[in-house]
Amino acid sequence: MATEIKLTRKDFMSDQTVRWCPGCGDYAILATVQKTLPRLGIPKEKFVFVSGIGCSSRFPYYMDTYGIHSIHGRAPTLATGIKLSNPDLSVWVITGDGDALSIGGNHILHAGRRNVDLNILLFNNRIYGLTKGQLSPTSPVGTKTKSSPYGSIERPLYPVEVALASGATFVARTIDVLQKEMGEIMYQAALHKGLAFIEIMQNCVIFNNGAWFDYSDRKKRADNDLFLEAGKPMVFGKNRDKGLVLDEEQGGFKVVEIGEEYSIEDITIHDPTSLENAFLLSQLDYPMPLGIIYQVTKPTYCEGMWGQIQQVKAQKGEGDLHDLYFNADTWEVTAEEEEIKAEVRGQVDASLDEAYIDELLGVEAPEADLAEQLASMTLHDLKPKAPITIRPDALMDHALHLMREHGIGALLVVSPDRHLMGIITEADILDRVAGKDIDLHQVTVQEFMTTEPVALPLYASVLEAVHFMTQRRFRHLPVVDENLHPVGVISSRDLAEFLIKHL
Amino acid sequence: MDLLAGLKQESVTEMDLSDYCTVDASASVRDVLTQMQVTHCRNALVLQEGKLVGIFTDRDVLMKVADNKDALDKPITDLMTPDPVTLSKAATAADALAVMARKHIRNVPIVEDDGSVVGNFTHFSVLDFLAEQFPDIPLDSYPVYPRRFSRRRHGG
Ligand code: SF4
Repeated sequence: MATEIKLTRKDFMSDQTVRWCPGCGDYAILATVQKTLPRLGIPKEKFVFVSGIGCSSRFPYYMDTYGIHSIHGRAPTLATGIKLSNPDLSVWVITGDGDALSIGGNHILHAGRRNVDLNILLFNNRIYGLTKGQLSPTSPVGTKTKSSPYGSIERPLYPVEVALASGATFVARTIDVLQKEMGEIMYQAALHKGLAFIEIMQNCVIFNNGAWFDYSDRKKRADNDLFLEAGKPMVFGKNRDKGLVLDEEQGGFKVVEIGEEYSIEDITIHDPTSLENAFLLSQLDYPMPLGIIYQVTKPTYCEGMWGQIQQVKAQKGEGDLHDLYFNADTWEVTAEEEEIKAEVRGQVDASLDEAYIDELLGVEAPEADLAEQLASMTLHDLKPKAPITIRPDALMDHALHLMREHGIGALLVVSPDRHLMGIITEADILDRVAGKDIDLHQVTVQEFMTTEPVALPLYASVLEAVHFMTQRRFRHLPVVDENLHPVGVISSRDLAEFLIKHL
Repeated sequence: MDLLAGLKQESVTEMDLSDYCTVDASASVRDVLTQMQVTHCRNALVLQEGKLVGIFTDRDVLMKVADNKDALDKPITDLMTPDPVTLSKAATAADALAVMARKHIRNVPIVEDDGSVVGNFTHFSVLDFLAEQFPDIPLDSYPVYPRRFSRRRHGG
């Protein structure tokens, strides 16, 4: 391999001005991270910091590494993707009590149960700092904030407990004032394969100052903090005269004085591989256990995923995404005919003009949004059917024949110079021919046609056609060009179906 | 689209179903023609004891009667379409349109359960409905070319 990598704290400091409140615990955590990373011997470009939203989540800006200030609560999810696709990266998640346990509660759980090889640093200040001081899910009962003016009535979450429950394989707790210990825990977390979770008790000097005072204050912390060491008895106190023993009756740890009743041999040894031990420690606040509470080795998500990929590839060869998408249970959704709920009875009149109407149904029209374009749509768009025409001096017998032959209800009567002279329709046949004593071979079309029929130019709007038809009850409307030459006929059916098609 | 949704909701009974006249099944073709001419009606619904038994339209006149004087004295039941496609009052406008398109017909009588006629659904029924949804335009003042309107009732 290449030469040894020598980095310093400076290599991890970005050129950004750090914008936390003066005195915020975040500064100490940032400095500790920047001092710890060089110890790992990992090239700078292999580090990624992913954060969610909140004061702590500004962290990636201040690190001179890759980083994403991502989505509220979703940092573990993004980090999972980053780690999976690039397993050789050292991926760190920076989150807070709100980001991780309110909005991101779900995401933190799944990162834990999958044992993704990430390092999650949860800055726990027990308040919403960025939004100026509301209750957080780790605020103790009774906490008075802007959103809980009479004191919180909610049982808080303990981040360590959540991490243990989710399945994280490295769970630790530390506090912002103890940089040396914090750095050591971070170092161990970075070396750990699997999900490493560190709760960092952090002071929000502005909105929740002194929340951890009992454990951070120089005078108090010696008596209240329990520094865990694997394989050593859990002893604490300024004079190291107190310790934890299992309370068989209460089912938890109890604090005892080392002296007459209990000797140092009676004090319980810290076993970080014991989940039971870890859960009992997670419930304590006197003394406050600091250090590595739980650490075991289990297969990581990355190993499982890549192992499976290799195995399946060996058996089946390289996959094909296209084949995968289309291999089964795929179908095309096509428009179906509307179901007719009402009862339909009876039979079709076979004598009707199927051919003609089939043709009408096939009328092609532009795919436009009618509601918007109706006024601007012209008869041209409707593509009227070419008219069947007849001369005015043709015999009525011929007209009848043409209508029957083409299965249509209207003929346009045109002059030899192709001007529209009239229209003759089945209504005219009904009203003026049928039942009358007329010899159809003796009479001409012009005697029965409607002269000077209403015609619309091709550029008339569809809207006009609708109004003409409905107001004047015409079933057929001739369409003419600029020269009055007929170019089409529109039936009420054409129009209705055109409209329906475009609604 | 809203209008289409409207058609799917609009009961056929809310629409103009007046495009028909009724004749009795005992009538001759000549009787029916006379009635259609007098009432300016293009579609005759044939009833027997108040129940719909057939339909006779101007298309039938064109196809079967216009040049056939022998047909005039036949009973209407010989030339009508017996037992035509109908819909119940529960139908929507969209149902009626679908039936018309699928069966290639221009009239769908709407009937009660007992077979009595409620009305006749035609393309005008739906055009009227749609026309109401659109802004009205004054036809005669609109610069339509050519501006020639028939004054006779039956034109196009
Ligand atoms: S609001 Fe609190 S947590 Fe946020 S930067 Fe200021 S002191 Fe730190």
